[in-house]
Amino acid sequence: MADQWSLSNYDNHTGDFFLKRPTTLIKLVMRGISSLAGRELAAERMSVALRSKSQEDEHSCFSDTTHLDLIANMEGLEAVLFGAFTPHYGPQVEGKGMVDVIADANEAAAETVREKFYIAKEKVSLIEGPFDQAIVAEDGSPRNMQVKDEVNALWSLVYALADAEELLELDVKRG
Amino acid sequence: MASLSIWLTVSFGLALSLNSLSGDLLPGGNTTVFDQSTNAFSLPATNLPIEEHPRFFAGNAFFNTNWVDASSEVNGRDGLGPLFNVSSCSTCHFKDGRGEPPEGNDIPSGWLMRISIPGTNEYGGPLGDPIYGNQVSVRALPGASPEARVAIRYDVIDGVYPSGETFQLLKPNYTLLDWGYGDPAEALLLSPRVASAVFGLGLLEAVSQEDVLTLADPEDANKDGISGRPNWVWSPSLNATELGRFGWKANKANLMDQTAGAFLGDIGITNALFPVENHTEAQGLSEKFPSGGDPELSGRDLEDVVFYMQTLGVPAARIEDRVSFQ
Repeated sequence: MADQWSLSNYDNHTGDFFLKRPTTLIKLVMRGISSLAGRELAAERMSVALRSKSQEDEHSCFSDTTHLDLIANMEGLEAVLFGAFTPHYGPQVEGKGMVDVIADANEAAAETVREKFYIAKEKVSLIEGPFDQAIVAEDGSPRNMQVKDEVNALWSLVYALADAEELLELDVKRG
Repeated sequence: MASLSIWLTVSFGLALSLNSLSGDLLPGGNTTVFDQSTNAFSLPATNLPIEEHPRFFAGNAFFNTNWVDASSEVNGRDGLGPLFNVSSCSTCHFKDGRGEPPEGNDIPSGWLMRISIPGTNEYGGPLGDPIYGNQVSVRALPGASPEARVAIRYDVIDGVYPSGETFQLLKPNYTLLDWGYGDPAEALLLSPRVASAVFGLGLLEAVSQEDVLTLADPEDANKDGISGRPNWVWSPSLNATELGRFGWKANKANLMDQTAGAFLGDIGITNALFPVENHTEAQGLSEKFPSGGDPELSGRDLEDVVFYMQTLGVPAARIEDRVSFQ
């Protein structure tokens, strides 16, 4: 496993990743954050489940830990955005995050991303478990709205990231 | 929907002009996506406004949804069958790419058989078999029989190019066996179809009817060997006879008709355009199998899948600087 994640193993994602041009790298990371926040969390995990009202569309339908999965996913986004991560073992990881990269180009855009992220982080903490009760709750009820609010907050974050990406003028055409 | 078609038309027109200016080979104009991963066919058009991504990814999720038996505990995405080919759109159009014929005696999952009998229906389209309709369902829910089993045997045809190089072609021979509901009509006509790739369809839908008709040349008057002729088909969404554009024989007028028809014909999911299950009275299945809703697919979910079909981007070619690829 350690070998699979080795930076000098060019046959895998990790090694291949660092061979790319810096602008391509930045774009990949930005798109990765947007993809987790928008496509996966907001769309697939939450909107779709609310619309189908089906437990089949719940992230962790057997363990009833979906609301905690959502929080853990937000922690992952936070680590990449702010370059800070507290591991269970070993020292605190600190470095530059994507927000710092955006701030180098445009401080206001970075501030918007920061703000949108913290709104989404707060909203996700307000979703009560178990998530399946939110899925089957009536449209417009408090539990239903807790999830809808988080969906909207996540898309706002994605839109802010898209605006920031434009300001970075990455000029990347070929992935 | 009006704003979408304007956006596609504008971007398409703009794309063509930019294309000729820059010399870049952008198969989808400004909608072209640049990705060489296994997800290259599944990405939103590059110029799709980010505010449309929620709809796009909702459509993507429903395209990948595995439908289940209506009698199950699951609510919301039930209603599969009772007769069906596969249980999701993405089974045949895997990662939005094309399917393939089955190997050996496998049950097909990316290929289907249309059937008809001589004559035409009330709209001038193919006339379905009195028992089996116009498509063979190779799967069925427990308690029902599949309509038939498919066997494909290939003849190998050897050929020689003018250069002397040899090649081989595989000629398929189709047999339908083990009919589940009695013998079909004797004069049954078969028309096998491989599932198509589904990216870039919005651009095709945005081509004006006038432009298509301008290219019609039914008698091959210009002697280019192509006798293109418009196929006028009945459009259930528009309730009118329209120019056919989609499917192997251009017999669906738009992506709404195509998608709604596939939900019913391929998965057995009823919807606003096709509210009646895909089996006939002669098959006696209606009473035994409950419906998963009336209809089983909500209008908004159908619209989002159609939107997804309309806005999937076209990937740029990986090798575009070789003359042989141009």
